[in-house]
Amino acid sequence: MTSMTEKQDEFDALLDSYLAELMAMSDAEVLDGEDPAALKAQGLQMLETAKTECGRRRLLAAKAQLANRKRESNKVAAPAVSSQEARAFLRKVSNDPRFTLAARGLDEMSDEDAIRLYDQIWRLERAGEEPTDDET
Amino acid sequence: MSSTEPPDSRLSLAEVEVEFRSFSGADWKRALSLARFCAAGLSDWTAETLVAEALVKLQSGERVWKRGVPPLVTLKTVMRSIASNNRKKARNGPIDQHATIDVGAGETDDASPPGIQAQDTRTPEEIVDERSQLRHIETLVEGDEDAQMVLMAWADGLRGKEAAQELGFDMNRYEAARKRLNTRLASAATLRKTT
Repeated sequence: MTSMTEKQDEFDALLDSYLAELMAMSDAEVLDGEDPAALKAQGLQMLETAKTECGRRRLLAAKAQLANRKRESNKVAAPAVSSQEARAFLRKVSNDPRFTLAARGLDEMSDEDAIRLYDQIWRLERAGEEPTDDET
Repeated sequence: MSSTEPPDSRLSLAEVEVEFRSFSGADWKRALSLARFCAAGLSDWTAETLVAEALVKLQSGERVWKRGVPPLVTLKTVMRSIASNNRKKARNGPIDQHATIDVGAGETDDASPPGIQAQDTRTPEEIVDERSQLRHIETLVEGDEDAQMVLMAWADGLRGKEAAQELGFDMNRYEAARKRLNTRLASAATLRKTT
């Protein structure tokens, strides 16, 4: 049985021969009675459509890149702070209407929990500062 | 392509556009004929969509055009690659686009949806073979001995006068066979587009 690779090689040889034939044929032979102006118009239309599609794909790629950057920046850890500094930060943001945080509970919180909460809110704040997809 | 290659060894995007804008009607027809050849056996692609995708890849810079390479050779390389990738996708995908099915087979009286049963009795080797582009194109000229001979000569790398001589054809006979092959390719593509 002929292997797939051999078949592919044969097909490539066939395609190259076909291309050589097309290039060797005169325009009249290739056109075979078809209207060259209509074919050129069809070709230019395909070219224009392709340009529009290029723009659309570029925009999609840029959006994907931005979303990726946003995800990456959200992964950035907050600067290392002591438990006192974390509590000071949390006390400050407890007045921020964007966060629901009771300042009175801060003193009862373990150092570990205070630092973890500080880290979460710090990243939330940063995410809020990033432009949204609609703004780009 | 190697990143160490000097940038001016490839056409800029603006130059790519200029090249295509200077295409004549006959050049566009050559491109579409080549695309038909490359898309042979692909159920989701027409010559037009294949040319369009190649234009997108070249105009976006995803595929490069090496300086000095003729436009049709560049297009052929890009279209061959797109077709080949899609053929692999279709082969490895969950849906068999070539399956012959019998809708309604095994249907029962209850409200369950109609059954679907494969009707294909070919061996796996035959299926793989039939899906290959070469076999697909060979099928198009079945019954036309001269066109089949021309195909065989092309697959052996022979073309033009050399192919005609090797086959013992005069040029009129050779060109007539080539024309019939082109017509079969075009009608098969039209049929695919409308079904």
